[in-house]
Amino acid sequence: MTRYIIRRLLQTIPLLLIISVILFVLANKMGDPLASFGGRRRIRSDDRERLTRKLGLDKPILVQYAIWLVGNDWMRVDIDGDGIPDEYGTRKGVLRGDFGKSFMEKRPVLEIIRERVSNTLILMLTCEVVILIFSLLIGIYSALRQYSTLDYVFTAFSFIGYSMPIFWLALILMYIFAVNFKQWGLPYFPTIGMYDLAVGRTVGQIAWHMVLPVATISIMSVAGYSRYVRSQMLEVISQDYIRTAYAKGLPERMVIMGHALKNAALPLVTIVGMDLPLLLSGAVVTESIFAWPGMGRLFWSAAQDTDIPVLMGILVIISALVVIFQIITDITYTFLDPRIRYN
Amino acid sequence: MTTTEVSWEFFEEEIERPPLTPAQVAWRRFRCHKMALVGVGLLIAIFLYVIVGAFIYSEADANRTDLSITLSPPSRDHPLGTDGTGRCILARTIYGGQISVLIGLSAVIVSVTVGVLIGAISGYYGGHIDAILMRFTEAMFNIPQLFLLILLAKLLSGKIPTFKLLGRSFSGSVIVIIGVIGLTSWMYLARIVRANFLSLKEQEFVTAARCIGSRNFSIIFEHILPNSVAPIVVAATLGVASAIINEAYVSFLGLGVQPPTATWGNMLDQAYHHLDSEPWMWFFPGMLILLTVLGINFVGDGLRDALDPRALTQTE
Amino acid sequence: MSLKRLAWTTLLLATIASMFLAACAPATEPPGPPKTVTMTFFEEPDTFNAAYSGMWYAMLAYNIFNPGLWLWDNNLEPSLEMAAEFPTKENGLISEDGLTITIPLKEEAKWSDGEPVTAGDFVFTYEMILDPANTVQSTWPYADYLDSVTAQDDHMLVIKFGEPFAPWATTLFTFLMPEHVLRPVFEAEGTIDDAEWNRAGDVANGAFIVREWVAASHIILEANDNYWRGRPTIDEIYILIVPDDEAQMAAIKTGDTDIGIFLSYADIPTIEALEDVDVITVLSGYNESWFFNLNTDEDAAKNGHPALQDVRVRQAIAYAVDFDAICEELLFGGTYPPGTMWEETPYNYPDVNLYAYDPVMANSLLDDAGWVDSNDDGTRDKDGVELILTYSTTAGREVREQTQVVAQQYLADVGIGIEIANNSYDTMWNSYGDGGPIATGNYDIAEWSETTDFPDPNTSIFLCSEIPSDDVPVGGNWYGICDQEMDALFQAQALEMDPDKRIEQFHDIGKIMSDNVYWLGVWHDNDVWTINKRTSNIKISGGNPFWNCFEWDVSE
Repeated sequence: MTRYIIRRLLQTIPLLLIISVILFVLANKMGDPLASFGGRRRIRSDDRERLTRKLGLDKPILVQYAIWLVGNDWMRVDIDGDGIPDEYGTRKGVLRGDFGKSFMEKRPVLEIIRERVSNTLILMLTCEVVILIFSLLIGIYSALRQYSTLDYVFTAFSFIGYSMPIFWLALILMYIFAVNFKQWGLPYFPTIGMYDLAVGRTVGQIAWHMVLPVATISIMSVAGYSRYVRSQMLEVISQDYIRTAYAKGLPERMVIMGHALKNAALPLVTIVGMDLPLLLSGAVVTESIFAWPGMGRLFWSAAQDTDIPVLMGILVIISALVVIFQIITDITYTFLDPRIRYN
Repeated sequence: MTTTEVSWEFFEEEIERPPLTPAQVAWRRFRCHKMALVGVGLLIAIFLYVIVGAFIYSEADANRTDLSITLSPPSRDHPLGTDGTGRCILARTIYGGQISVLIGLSAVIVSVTVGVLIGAISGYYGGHIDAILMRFTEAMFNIPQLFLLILLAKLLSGKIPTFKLLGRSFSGSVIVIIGVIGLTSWMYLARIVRANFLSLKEQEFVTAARCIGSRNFSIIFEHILPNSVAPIVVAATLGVASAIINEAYVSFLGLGVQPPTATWGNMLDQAYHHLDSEPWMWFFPGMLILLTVLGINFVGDGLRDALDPRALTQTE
Repeated sequence: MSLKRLAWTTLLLATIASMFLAACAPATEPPGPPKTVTMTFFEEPDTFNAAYSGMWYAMLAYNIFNPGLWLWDNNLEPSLEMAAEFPTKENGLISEDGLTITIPLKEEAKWSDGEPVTAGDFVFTYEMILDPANTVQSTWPYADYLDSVTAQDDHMLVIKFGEPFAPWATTLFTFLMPEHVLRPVFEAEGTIDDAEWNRAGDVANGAFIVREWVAASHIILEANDNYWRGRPTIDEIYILIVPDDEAQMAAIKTGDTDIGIFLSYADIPTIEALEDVDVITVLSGYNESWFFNLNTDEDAAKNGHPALQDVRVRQAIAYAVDFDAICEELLFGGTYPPGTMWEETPYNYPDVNLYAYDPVMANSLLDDAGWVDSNDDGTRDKDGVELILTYSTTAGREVREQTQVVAQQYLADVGIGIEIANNSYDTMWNSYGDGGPIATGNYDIAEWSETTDFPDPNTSIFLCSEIPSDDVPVGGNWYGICDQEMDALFQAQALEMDPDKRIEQFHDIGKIMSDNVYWLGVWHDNDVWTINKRTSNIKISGGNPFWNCFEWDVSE
């Protein structure tokens, strides 16, 4: 097992390198970071020249990648633009944990990401829990009461939820539960932010502000997962051992909780692990609409500003997370299902 | 209860008749899948809407602005109302639908082509080619799709000029969007195809084909590929749905098809500021997206059940 | 026993001390809950050190806690901050040759930590901007026009120019760095790129101090007791970062925000229907503009449609499109087409030809110019060239795309074909050297909102020397306009220190630009703000919107 884990981890190194090269080239070609520097005004000619040089954007793309990867503190850098290298660079490179400085915010990328990661995790983990609970409940109910009215209702809703663009769902929820509820004099949900500044960052506030974004992200995923649980459950309850369990006189509740659920829920583990990237994508739009200060929104604003160090930082960290999550899911799976062995 | 009876009749019929080909079995199963039939019905209705509609409204109608009737609610002249520049929403949903469906289908063609090619080559040849291609696939797979969409859409925007096809002029951005969506959604398919090829290439019929001197090309495309059509069809069907949704996403993020060409996605985006004041602007394109995607998902679900190889072996 | 007594004594002393302290606390201490004004920012400031930012939202923020010599009030007059007097030739603070400006500073001005604001801070700021070790946003105009910045004494600043520089009042020292905070950082690290102050803003010379900045969420500023005017009326300013305009609208409606910034004209009718919110538009110097590609380069790829070279075609375009109707319907009557780039300022030429909608005139001008529809395909042509123009703007902005399709319709009516080819907003303005679509002439008509060094009228984007080429890869004159008479006027005004003469020069420029249709105004792009009626005394300025935040008030 240990050897398996080590081998998988070693395999991720070339994988992450490939990912980073692809992304670095894409990110560098997609826009002009200096264009956004000017804000409402166009950037002036000589400032553009100076900043291009200072940010190292005048170098060939592969050199830029090399510097991003291994830093430039071992080579001299031209600071005043006379073409003669003056001092050693200050960048250490990603391999030594230096993701560079944001072009826009002029401070270390890791610092920026660190501020956002926890916010995204709060949102995403809540979503995961909500998704798991609801998709299991709905899925199991639909399987046990197959072809009942509620089953059809759930099925219909899950397909509709699955077929809606997420931003549309977000806006509709926002307008019903925030704007219209207020107009009707009902208690209404906050539209933006993580907490009310006047109250402060309390658990209650965050939970209250989280309702609409979590609902937005969850509805879509619950739709997909509950269908999955339903079909898994249907398969499991037709198995012989379930029939045996019924036959020996166990009450339905026991059969479901003790035997069927465990086996039906297993594959969900893999799916949840695999869907982490999907959730993060959902976060890009949802976080922007609900002004949630997380990674998805950071990515979108960095993409708009072509803030390459931030983009690269987020993408590499997410890719690494995804790879690691996959390994963890695979390993968890062996614990949950003793039939599976890796060697 | 009724369903149980139906399935019994189904089996009785089957016992009496000569064995069916897998395709016939699939069709029978599909026919019995109520939601799939609803889906087919929905899709036919949508197709009629965007095609028959085009005989009633011309493309010029869809793009004609009229500043005297901006943002007017549904009326006799404009049954679905008008948008911010006085264009007829009905005509725009018809032509927008054509483009959205076109994008959905073409993007899937791109992703299926790339996915099948990479999956097939990787699975058939194995070894180093497999290792390299699969590392690449895995790398692309590990980057969330929306992130790739944003990067590619920004990279390619404005790079392709307007072109004429079948007497209509298309914004180059349509091609860009098709390419971008296609190139960010082939990875899943490549993996399925590869897995299929890995198991199929060891089977007797492949060995037989090799023995009689078939070339690799013909083995891949004439012998193995037809045997892995089922998962490809299912993935492609569902791919159309997600391509249509992705088009809406890209439009929403301001990277979509350029004006004046309508798509359901950019119509939704334009309605963004009119959520509570002019609901007809978002309701109709939104419903059309919803119904189309719903229809496709129903059909895909039906196909999945109908083409399930495990199910097939059971009936055979 | 004694321990217990000690504890009691301590407690007693502490109580007495705290009562004593409470009694001594300044009388300005707010009695009830703190008075707070909340506003929403669409974009988050990138940094609080103004030298490192070109961002408009960052400017809004640092104006509150880090004003420079003066801010521009709602009448676009200087409202003095650190300066004690505004220099003019009359008061003798500007030398006869216009090359030396002396600025006396307020003796009572202090940083929030109690250190006095001195001329040394300004000299330090100047040095930091020029030092190549600092990655500042812009060295303009300090590097280009200034010879020296010196401190005659602690409260007397002397600025010397190499050549006369007209827009000095709006461009120099709009902010200030605290030398006592940043000098040690600079000496230790060799640069102030990474100084904590750049993001902390905790040593301030404005009415407020930054208390908290939570990235992507909010900024809280609190009243500065050491502000030279005294403590401001309100206690706190909350800045919420809301990156979605629809979400901002929702916050305005629910009253979650008092000040809504940078709204779209399309939102005006909705907001006007709200009882407790005022809508105001503020002159900001911006005008939504049409530029024409008039390049006549050897490299034909850079040139626009040949028809555009004919002034009659450009005039026909101006007559053919009903810009008034666009403003009325697409912008809900919130604005109107401007005559020149200097609309609503003294520099605007008042008798300019506004090219009121006149399709008949447009048709006859095009006929005169020889562009007729000879092959009956609906578009005019000449010598086998169809009159189809490529019209480019930033993709994804609704009102621009609406304008495009409406203009497309108007121009089709006079036989001019339009192909729309938009660019994402960050590549749109790339330089010639970076292959920017506009800079390399990949358009016929381009649309965006343009301004000058507002409130100063200066701009360099119409100078012949700024036409981009392989030798001038970063030139800003992407339209290839080289009108000798206009060029001379633009060069002269930049050196003119007499305000009246400059106004005359700009009137001449405006006339030339309008007669030749070098530039066409689509709508006068004033900034739209909303202000909740629970606040009072908020006087938004187009120069420095929050110039009077020290006297804002709220009623509960």
